[in-house]
Amino acid sequence: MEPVLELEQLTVRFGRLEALRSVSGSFSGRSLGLLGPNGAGKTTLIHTLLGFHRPSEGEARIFGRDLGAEPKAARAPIGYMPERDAFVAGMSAVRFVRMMGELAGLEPKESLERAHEALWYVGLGEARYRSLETYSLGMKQRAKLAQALVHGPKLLFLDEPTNGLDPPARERMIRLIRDISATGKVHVVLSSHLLRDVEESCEEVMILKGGRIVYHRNLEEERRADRKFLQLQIHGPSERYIEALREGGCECTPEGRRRLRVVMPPQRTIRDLYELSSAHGVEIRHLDFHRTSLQDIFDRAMREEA
Amino acid sequence: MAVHQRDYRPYGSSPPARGPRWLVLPRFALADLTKSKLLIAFFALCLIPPLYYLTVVYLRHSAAILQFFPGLDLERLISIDADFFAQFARIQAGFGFFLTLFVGPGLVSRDLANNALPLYLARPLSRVEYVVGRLTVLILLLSLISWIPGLIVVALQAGYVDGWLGANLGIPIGLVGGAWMWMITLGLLALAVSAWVRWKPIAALVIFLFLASGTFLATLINGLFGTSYGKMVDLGAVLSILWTRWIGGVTSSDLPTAAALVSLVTFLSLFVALLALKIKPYRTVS
Repeated sequence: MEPVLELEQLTVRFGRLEALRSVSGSFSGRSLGLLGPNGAGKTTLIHTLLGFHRPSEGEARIFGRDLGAEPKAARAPIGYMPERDAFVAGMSAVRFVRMMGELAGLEPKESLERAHEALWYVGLGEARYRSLETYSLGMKQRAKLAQALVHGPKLLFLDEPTNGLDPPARERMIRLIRDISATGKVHVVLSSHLLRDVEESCEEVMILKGGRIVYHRNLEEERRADRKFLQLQIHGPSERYIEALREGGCECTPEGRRRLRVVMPPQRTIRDLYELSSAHGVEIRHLDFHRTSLQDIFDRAMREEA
Repeated sequence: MAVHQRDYRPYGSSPPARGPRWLVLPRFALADLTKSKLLIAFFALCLIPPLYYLTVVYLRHSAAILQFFPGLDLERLISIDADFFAQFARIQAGFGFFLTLFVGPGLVSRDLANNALPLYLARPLSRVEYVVGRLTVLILLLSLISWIPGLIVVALQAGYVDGWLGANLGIPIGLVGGAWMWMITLGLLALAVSAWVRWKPIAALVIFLFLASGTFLATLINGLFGTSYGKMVDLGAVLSILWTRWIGGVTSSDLPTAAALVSLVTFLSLFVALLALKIKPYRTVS
């Protein structure tokens, strides 16, 4: 699969401040969540990929196009929804989105048509002729999303898209982002300091701290791996059972008299655990997959870095 | 299918590259400006002097008039030469100044006030193209009241008198060249002020005061030091001197052309620097 983003030793300095430090990595999935504490470099990374900051060292490529050598061509397939309020005063939403479509390279007629579609898609269909200044915060966020989508980008940068939204509006925004990413035609990079936003809408997670990547994994794969990590609550003579589990290749750690933490080898199944327990007169009263939350991952990444 | 029934359709590929994208900016801005009846009325007023000058050229060569007033020496009374066109340029420069005060202050401030610049610059549009797009709004409007009607007057005169154009080729060249110098300078001044002063009436006042204070300072310097170089701080005078001399007209100022050019380049550099400081997607604090 063609990599969407490729970063090679990307460094960005503002005077003496090093905002990004030798960041390397690539992304080719459908959705990537950028996480990190304030000042970690999330927004700087997005701004650099948009060409707002010139890299001090290193390279960045978007769909194989070098940002330094072909900045316009690299930006052409991008849609961007900034964090702060961003609109043109005195314009209706449809006119604003149409203008942004034309600036992205659409013909005027097509841009107008797609502006209507994008506004309906984000739920502003009925309000599309209203001036943007009269919009609520949630509506402005959706208008920003519409302008980012109007030209049908292949890569969408969303910077804190749920900022300031009430719970229903946030829910709606996350659903939209999930839908866009699910089409498979748009790759989404979402920057947020809200772990829940990323957990609910992204496949991959990149955690930044102090301008460096401290974690970059696929959340789904991480969760699939978790399915082999179990917590059991048992009743009955446990010693022989634990021995049998170990003989079967499981890593087994008792936690008190009735609790066990078990890491199963790939060839073992849950059914094997039940068959062994039955053979050794042990009842499994509770079985739980240990599910690593994004909070766990984030905390671990922060701890390891510290 | 009705628009509201359609779903969002992502493209299979990037949008095709069309001509210069910055042209979208003046197109939308001009469409907004033409909604102002006051602007339309003022613009119509700006076209009265060119009509007057066309009428003068017509009357100057009108056989009917000559027949009606046989003793009238029109050639002495109305002399169509470089000074005639320099006067035309000065009058239109005055109208153009007020047109700039009306249009210029809102060109950039509207985008800066609402953080729209990142949206423009995240697209395949550079900072220079953004400025050129905004500048084009003023250049189009000012062209319509300066060198375009000026060339029509030249063409009418050339049509009446065989060989006039060949003998006075410097007039249309100076008229067009001077007009572009004037439009770009005035446009950059308006954009620079618009980038720094977000409230339109105040921005218009700043542009006005900038030019007025230049005239005051120039008079003060010339009076104190008994020199003509004080005019170098008066942008309006510098533009007028250069434009008039390029057309071939006579100016009352002794300021050398080279000094006027140095002053012009300095002013232009200042405006570009002021724009470069403000026309950024985001401010970075190091």
